[in-house]
Parts: sequence; C-alpha cells; structure tokens
Amino acid sequence: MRLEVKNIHKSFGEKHVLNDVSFGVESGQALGLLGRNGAGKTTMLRIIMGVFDADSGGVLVDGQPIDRRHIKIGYLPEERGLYPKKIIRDQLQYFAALKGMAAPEARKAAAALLERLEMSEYAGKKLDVLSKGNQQKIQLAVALLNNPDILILDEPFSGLDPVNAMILKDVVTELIGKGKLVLFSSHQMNYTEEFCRDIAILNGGRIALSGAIREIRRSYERRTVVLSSPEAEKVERFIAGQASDITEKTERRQDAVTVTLASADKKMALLKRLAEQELNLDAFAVYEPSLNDIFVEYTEARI
Amino acid sequence: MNQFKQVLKFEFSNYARSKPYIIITVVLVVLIAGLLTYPRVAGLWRHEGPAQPSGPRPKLALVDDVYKSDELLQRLAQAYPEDELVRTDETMDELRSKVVSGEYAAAVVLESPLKFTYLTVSVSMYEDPGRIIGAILAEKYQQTEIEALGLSAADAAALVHPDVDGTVTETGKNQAETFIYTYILIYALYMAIMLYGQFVASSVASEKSTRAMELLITSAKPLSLMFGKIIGTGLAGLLQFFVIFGSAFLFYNINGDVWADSPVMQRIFNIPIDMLLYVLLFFVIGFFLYAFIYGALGSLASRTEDVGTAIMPVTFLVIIALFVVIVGMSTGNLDSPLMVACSYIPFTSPMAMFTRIAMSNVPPIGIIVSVAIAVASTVGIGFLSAAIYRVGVLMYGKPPKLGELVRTLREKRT
Repeated sequence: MRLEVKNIHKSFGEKHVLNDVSFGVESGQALGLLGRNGAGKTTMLRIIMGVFDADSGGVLVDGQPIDRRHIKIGYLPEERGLYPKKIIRDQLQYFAALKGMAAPEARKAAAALLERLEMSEYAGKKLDVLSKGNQQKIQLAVALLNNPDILILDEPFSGLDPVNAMILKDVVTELIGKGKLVLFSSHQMNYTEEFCRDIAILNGGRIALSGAIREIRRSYERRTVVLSSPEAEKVERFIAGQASDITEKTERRQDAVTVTLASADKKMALLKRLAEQELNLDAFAVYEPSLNDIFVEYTEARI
Repeated sequence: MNQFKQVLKFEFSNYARSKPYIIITVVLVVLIAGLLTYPRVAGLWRHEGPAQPSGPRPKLALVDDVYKSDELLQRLAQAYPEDELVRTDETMDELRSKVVSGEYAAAVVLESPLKFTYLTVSVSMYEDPGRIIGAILAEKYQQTEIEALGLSAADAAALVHPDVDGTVTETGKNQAETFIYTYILIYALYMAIMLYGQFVASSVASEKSTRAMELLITSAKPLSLMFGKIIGTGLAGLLQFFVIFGSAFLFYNINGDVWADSPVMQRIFNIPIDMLLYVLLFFVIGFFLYAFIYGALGSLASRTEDVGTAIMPVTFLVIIALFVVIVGMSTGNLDSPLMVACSYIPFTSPMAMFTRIAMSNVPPIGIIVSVAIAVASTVGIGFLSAAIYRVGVLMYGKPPKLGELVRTLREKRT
C-alpha cells in the first residue's frame, strides 16, 4: 500500500495553512513529518484522517482517493486526550466500538494491547491515577486498537522515561516490521532517525525538504571535517596558518576543530600535513549533518 | 448509525452509573416515600400507644364587660378550636404580664360592642386575629341590634346568616384544582431543561479541555457525537424523572387511604393522564431545543471554567420563560397577550403552552401550531448547532466572536 498526499492546499479564513503539500510513504515504512510548531503538521494529519477537507489536492491510497471505511487509521494525538475519570478498560472498549469493532473483539484487542504494553494491571483503574508515561502507553493502546493500516504518531515520545521510551520504540519497530504504514511527527530527531527512512519537513505550510534521510545527507558536500585532539588549540593555529590554502574556515569548540575544506578532495592533503607535524589527533572524520542540523537549517527562516 | 448508538450508550451509562446521579435519585425517592408514608406510620403510633394527654392547651382569655354572655365565648371557641377559652375580669396590665409570661397565649378585651383589643406576643403570618374576632363581633352586633328591633333571636340569626344555595359551574378548567400540579410540573420542566442542558454543555467542554475530543473527532462523525451525547443525556434525565415521579405515584397509591381527606394531596396527584403526556412532549421538545444550544455553546468553550459565561444568555432565556409563566399562573390571567405570544415562541413555548393547556382552554389547533413551530425550530437549531459544534470542537483558545463564527460557518458551506 502506498499513501500519497498530493498538492494539498488548505486555508482557515485568511490564513493559508498548507500550501501545495505533497509527500508519499509505503507500507512497512515510516515517514517523519517534521516541522516547527505551527508549521501545519497537525492540520495535515487531520486532513489525512478526514477531520478536515482539503481546499484542493487529495489523499490517495495506491492511486485512488482514500476510502476511510476500508483503510483503518490509528491516531496518537500530540495533545494527549482521553477521559481522565473513566476506567481504562471502558475507555478502550468505547473507542474500539466507535471504530466499529464488536464488543467481544474490542475486549480481546484491548486486553492484548494492555498485555503487550505491560499495562494489564491498570485495566480496572481510572486513567488519572496513572503516571504520565503510563497514560501515554494507554494512549498508544487506543491508537492501535483497531489494528490500523496507517498509524499516525504525533509526538509519541514526549514525557516518556527511557525505559518506557524503549518499550514504545520496540512496539513501533515491531509495527513497521509487520508492514504498517507509519506517519511519525516529532521534534525529537534521534527517534525520527531511528524509525524513518524518509522525512518531509514542513515550514510555513510548504514542504521545505523531503526525501530519504540517507540521500539528503549524501547531498551535502563532504568537505567539512571534524578533528578532535587534546591539543586542539595548536591544531587550529596550524590549520589557520599553514593550511589556509586548502581550507576555507576553521572553528574550534573545546577539543574539537571543525574545518571546511576548499573542496572535498583536499581531505587527504590536510591529513598528510597534520601527520607531518606529528600533531596529536584523537579523531579525524568527515562531518555528516545530523537530522537536527538539517532540520534547523531548513526551518530556521520561516517562510 | 452504529457510532451514534455507541456514543448514546456511553453517555447514558456515564450518567446512570455515576454516583451523584444514583445517590440523588435514591435520596429523592426515599424522601418521597418517607413523606407519603409518614402519616400512616405516625397514625400507627397514635392508635397503638395509650391515649396521651396532648399537653396543656394554650389559653385564650376573654374580658367581656359588654355582652357578658356565654354565646360569644362559644363563638370564639369555635373559631379557635385548639385553644382553651377562659373568661376573666383581669385588668389590662395583669393580662399583659400573663401574656408575656406565657400563661395566656392571647387575650381579647371587649371594650364596647365594636371595639376590642387583642393581646399576644406575636402574630404569625398565617393568623389574622383582627379579621376573625372582628367578624365574630360584627355578627354579634348585627344580631343584637336586629333583636332590639323586635325580631326573635332565631329570625335575627336567619337574617344575619341567610342560607344561600349556589352551584358553581365551570365551562373551562378549575384553576384552583390544576394550579398545584401545574406548578410542580413547570418547575420539573424548568429544572430538567436547565440541569440537563448544562450537563450537555459542560460535558462537551470537558471533552475539549481533556482533549478526548482529539480522538473522538477522529474516530466518529461530529453529528453522531453531538446527537449521541444529547439524546443519551436526555434519556438519563427522563429516566430520573420517571423514577422520581413514578415513585411518588406509587407511594401515594399505596397510602391512598391516609391521604383520602387531604384535598391538597388529591389535587397534586389527580393529574389527568393527558397532562402527563403533554409534560412528556414538552419536556422532549424543550430539552432538545435547549440541549442543542447548550451543546453548541459548550463546544465553543475551551475549558470547563468558560462554560458558565458561554451559556449565560441561554440560561437567562430559560429563567425568563419560567418567570413569565409563574407570573401568568399567579395572576390567573393565562390568556394575556404576553402569555399567548410566549406560548408560540419556541424558546418559551414548552413551558408557556403547557401551562395554558393545563390551566386554561387552548383550542387544539393552537396546540398543534405551537408544537409544530417548536419542533421545526428545534430541527433548525439542531442543524445549526451541529455546524457550530463541528467547527467549535477543534477551536482552542479564546471563544470566537459571533461574527467570526458566522464567517467560518459560511466558509464551510461553500
């Protein structure tokens, strides 16, 4: 199955919230939908779920307009929302019933999910007696109740301690492995990198960047190197002085020196000169931009 | 349809299983049962126990230097059956001190045939000693004067108290008969609309503030959510009223013999079945009309704290409706232009029309027109509310101004 969002436009009153947004993702993969607050992520997700209609453009599944009666969607909203004063088991069954599941089926699915998330002991408790992390897991259980084809996770890791984050990570990895299509929206780039092959960065309602993370990284010229050394100051002075013919910029932050070369093929030349000087180097590596750096680069200036 | 049923079931059981709902219903039923059974239980004690002297009766002293007859004493005794009548010659000061000390509950001093003083510590709201004693004295005076003209005492009495044989025939309804139950039903209607309407508003707002709405709106259609909630709430309200009124009727009938000689109780429970059906009809119309508005307003509030201010105008409307009806009822003028107008305006008609049906005479066509207007408005308001709800539930922050709302709704249409 391939989910495709094509040329979506959406305005609320005067405000043009989404401007020609397109991206696509396949089953068994996760797409990281990234963007700063107010970039239009939630609106985009709501259009996919059918809460809003797009002004123009469409949401397609395998080339056909999405039929939400047959394609099941699970949603974990950014603003966590369940009934705080209700018994957890009852809430799970209610949401399952709203999604069209029969009562026995709903009961079974709820029990199985609580088991998987190690939450079975809380089934008879009210939601608000649980810790934040555990409430989060219940929220995830609601999203997974109807065994969705498309799983939309909006900031799933916020507020989770490392152990709970690990459980959630395992669950999501397992789901992707099972061939689910996951839309993942987060500010935590390390998680995005772990799950998502592709990303789409929204900025000011437009797609600022989209594609496979690996290729985006490759597209950066590999002419920046990072050196780490106990005598970083000396290294910096040497490069700025005797290697200025093959470098453009040198920056030092404590024990690390970041050097931008005149071109990518000057890498070995620089290393040779450093070796000749017998400078004490701990590491010499080509700098690869982190997803975080890429994100900041593309969203710093808001359109 | 299935979603609607699920929401309805969920909302209904929210009420039916909540502790306050159960406790309030049970307490009211127990209270009603207790009140209606009390005289029987009290009666049992009185019959079984030995005859108790019911304590000293309050004394009413009479100083009569004018007639000096026992007849006046007897008349006073008839007028004050609870009191023990004492004839005395004490002076005003002595009487005053005995009244103050409580030896006499009150004292009547006759100064001349048409002048008396009534001494007591305080007169309760329900007594009017001036009028009662004045009437007795006036009668005595008339009789004495007529006798002085040469008629026999019997003829004089017949002149003063002629036997009049009259029958009152009403072509319409007896307002005295219908007043009490109409009053009770109107208050029930008012409470139901107010209480359950506000439940709808705060329940929508709390789904917004807890963000449960985020999931609801992605799991179900807004129409199912709104109608399911409103009808579920309405059913919970109806159930509660059935239980409360049903238990009142049940315990009244069980204890029917005890209440046989209480005209007030008979008036309350002597509700014709068609009135009960009318109250049901107007409850349903009134509840839905207001519940739709309350639901829409609730969807515009982001927090439960904002609900109060959001629904205030509507609450005022309900209060005004009640006020108009109560004024109409207490003046007895149920067909005044205001009442007639109110019985056709959808916001006031459930209460106003019901009152007029119960206490006045409304032609069937009037009832049909009023109900038709109310039902049509309810449907219209239902659609409008659903449109507001759809937009409102995803709006956070400050409640929108009316103008903005209209603009958003119009955009939705196109």
